[in-house]
Amino acid sequence: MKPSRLAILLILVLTMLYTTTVIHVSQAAIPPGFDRSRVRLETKTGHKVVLQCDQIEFYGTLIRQVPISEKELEDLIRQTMEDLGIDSLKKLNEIVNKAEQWDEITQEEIDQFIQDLTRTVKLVPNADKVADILSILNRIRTNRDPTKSVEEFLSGL
Amino acid sequence: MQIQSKYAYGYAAASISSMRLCVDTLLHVGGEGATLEEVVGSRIADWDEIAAYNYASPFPWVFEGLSLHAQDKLEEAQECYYNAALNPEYDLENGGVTVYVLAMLDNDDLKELKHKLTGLEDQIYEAGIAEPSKCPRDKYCFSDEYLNALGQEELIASDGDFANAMVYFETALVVAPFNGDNYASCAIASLYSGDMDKTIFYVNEGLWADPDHEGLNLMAELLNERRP
Repeated sequence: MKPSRLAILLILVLTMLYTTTVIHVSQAAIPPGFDRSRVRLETKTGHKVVLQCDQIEFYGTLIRQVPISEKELEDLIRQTMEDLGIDSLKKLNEIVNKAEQWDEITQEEIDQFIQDLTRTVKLVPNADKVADILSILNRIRTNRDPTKSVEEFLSGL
Repeated sequence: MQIQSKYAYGYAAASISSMRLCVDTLLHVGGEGATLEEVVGSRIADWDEIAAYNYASPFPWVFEGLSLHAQDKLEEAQECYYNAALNPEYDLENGGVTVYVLAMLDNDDLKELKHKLTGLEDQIYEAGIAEPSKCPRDKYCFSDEYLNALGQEELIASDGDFANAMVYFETALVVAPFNGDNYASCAIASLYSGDMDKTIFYVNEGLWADPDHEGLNLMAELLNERRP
């Protein structure tokens, strides 16, 4: 292949690749006494650490390049716990135990949650179930105007 | 982070695999293999399947267009180029360079390029993160607004059943994973489907992507109030 063509192709391929995010997932260094299977640690340079305990996630910030040593990861987890006011493994485990109770949630509790949500978004339910669902959907989607219809979307192009 | 990973790997999969399938087609047109299937081998050979890895990428339309162009199917090729141009992510000014350079390569160049692309494909799929959407492909699928509109219509058509609408809401999230609204749709859809784990997952992930999102914060507050 001629060098100029090869250069252009490589640039094209690399541009396509580097417009995407490269994510490194690292094995967590878990503080002693904590169940390793309950913790997920995701690292991305300049972004975050997640301590995931079942459905509860604790966020911290990673400010250096990966990979980092086990010791550094452990310190980072401890620091994250501290930042979030989780001062001991005992407290962390308590939170996890509470989180486990979410697994036992019933349909009645979910219905109750939907009712709470309806009240919180100040929606007066009417006889039209689908219209109520769409109203809730649009009131929770707060970044933009309410969702457009397909027709409105196409006419806006 | 899982959603962003899916976005990134899906975008890379759609872009690289479509370029590779285009190269396979150009090789075949250039006399390689008795059939296109023979050139493609066991790799993905379906444009719709490739595009479904992430509709945010305009490249499947671009490379499908070039493949059709190379087979003298000019009208179909033009339609593909038009569809690519609808996507704001497509660089209209410089995008043509890709097509021009690929079209100029001889079979030796193409084989060398294919070797590089298949290596990249293997790395992308080995991670096991990218997965194709079940939402059927059309030219507007790059837009989360459009996909949400389809989801809403599906919801109306199914009388409030989120099962089918969820496909569109989740695809919208993969296409635009930095907008809290798309997490909110998925969280609400999960809630009405009775899946509290997924509801919490979408609220948590959404608040990471968009910490000040009013609707997601409201849901988080309610969830925390009800925490056992």
